[in-house]
Amino acid sequence: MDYQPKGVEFFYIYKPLAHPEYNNYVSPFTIQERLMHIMEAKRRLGSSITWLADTMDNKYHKAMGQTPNSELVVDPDGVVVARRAWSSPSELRKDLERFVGPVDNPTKVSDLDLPQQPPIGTVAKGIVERVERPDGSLPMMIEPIMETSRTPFYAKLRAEGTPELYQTGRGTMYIGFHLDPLYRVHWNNEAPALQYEITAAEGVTISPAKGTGAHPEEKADADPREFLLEVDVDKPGQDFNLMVKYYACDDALTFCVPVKQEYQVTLARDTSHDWSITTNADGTINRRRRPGQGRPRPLNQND
Amino acid sequence: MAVPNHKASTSRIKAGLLVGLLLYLGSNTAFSQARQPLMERFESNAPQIGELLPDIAIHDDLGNLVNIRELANENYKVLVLGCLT
Repeated sequence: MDYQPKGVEFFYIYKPLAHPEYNNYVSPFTIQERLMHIMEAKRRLGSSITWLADTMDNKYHKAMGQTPNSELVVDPDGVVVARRAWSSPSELRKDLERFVGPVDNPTKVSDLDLPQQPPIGTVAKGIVERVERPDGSLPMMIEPIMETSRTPFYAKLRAEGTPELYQTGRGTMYIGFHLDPLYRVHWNNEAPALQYEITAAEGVTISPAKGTGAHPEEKADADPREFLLEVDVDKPGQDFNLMVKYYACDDALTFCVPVKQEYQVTLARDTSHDWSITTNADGTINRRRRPGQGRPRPLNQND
Repeated sequence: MAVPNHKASTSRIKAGLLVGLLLYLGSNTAFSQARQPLMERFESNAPQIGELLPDIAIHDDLGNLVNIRELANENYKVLVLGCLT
């Protein structure tokens, strides 16, 4: 705000979610969905900053060492003149004072009076009990097979494995199907419950290979459908096909549709995610941390 | 009538403050340790001061690809990574 009149341009680059499930947000599968996240960020923060979206293979994020909140100051020739792994509004102001000059009466965050909107509400949550993931579980590589679905991925797979699974090929795998709040949909509990089925090559044993999710009496809910599976493979890194069927309705009740979707899951660690968290029914973070975990730092207006 | 034991209550307050301080320092140390690998990755991967921005195209909010070297060419610019969570 203070430096825009002096010609400084600010860009916020949207990257993979640092804390999936926080406020019920789930990781987007397509660039269109990442752009929907940007729309949501604009709605919630009321900020006029220019937003950009990293590519779905996260080129910019990788070029920054996959840090969640890095900051660069670049001169008119495109040369980096200041850098930090973690954005710091106070340090950034010092940088800009050095390169562009001080401003009279610097604006404080409290001066901005930006309207902070709440996250998207969902239908009832907290109806289906959450599955406790084994300690130390880490994200697994998944690839939605887009061409197998006629509809958006209203429910998105989150897969995690225990460290020994990645190391030895034997361990516990978590799979959870999380409704994407940006589509404003819920499970249609008047229809059959969610079902998954795994098809794997010889040498890959996953049990149970088929499963049916919770089917509460309430007509609608938005709790994830979660499962713990035991995996035993000849060697880590092999993949398998995961098919899921469910029934979804939009919250405005303009449609209810049967959905069938598929994923290719690779029994390998997805290193594009740094965090593994659990959330409470209201979408807040469960503060019970696991080894190696730090403190979540959601996006805020100070940047 | 019981006489308040001021010495004992002062000791309890001091002990409570000490425990609080240790918990605060401990949580900050754990936080710093968790951040350390990220800081190291940034140091070794991100462009150094004096280097050009990487030659990378990303999307504007309409989905068009734009090269980050071509953003606000005439001006200083600030690039910050972030997300909703």
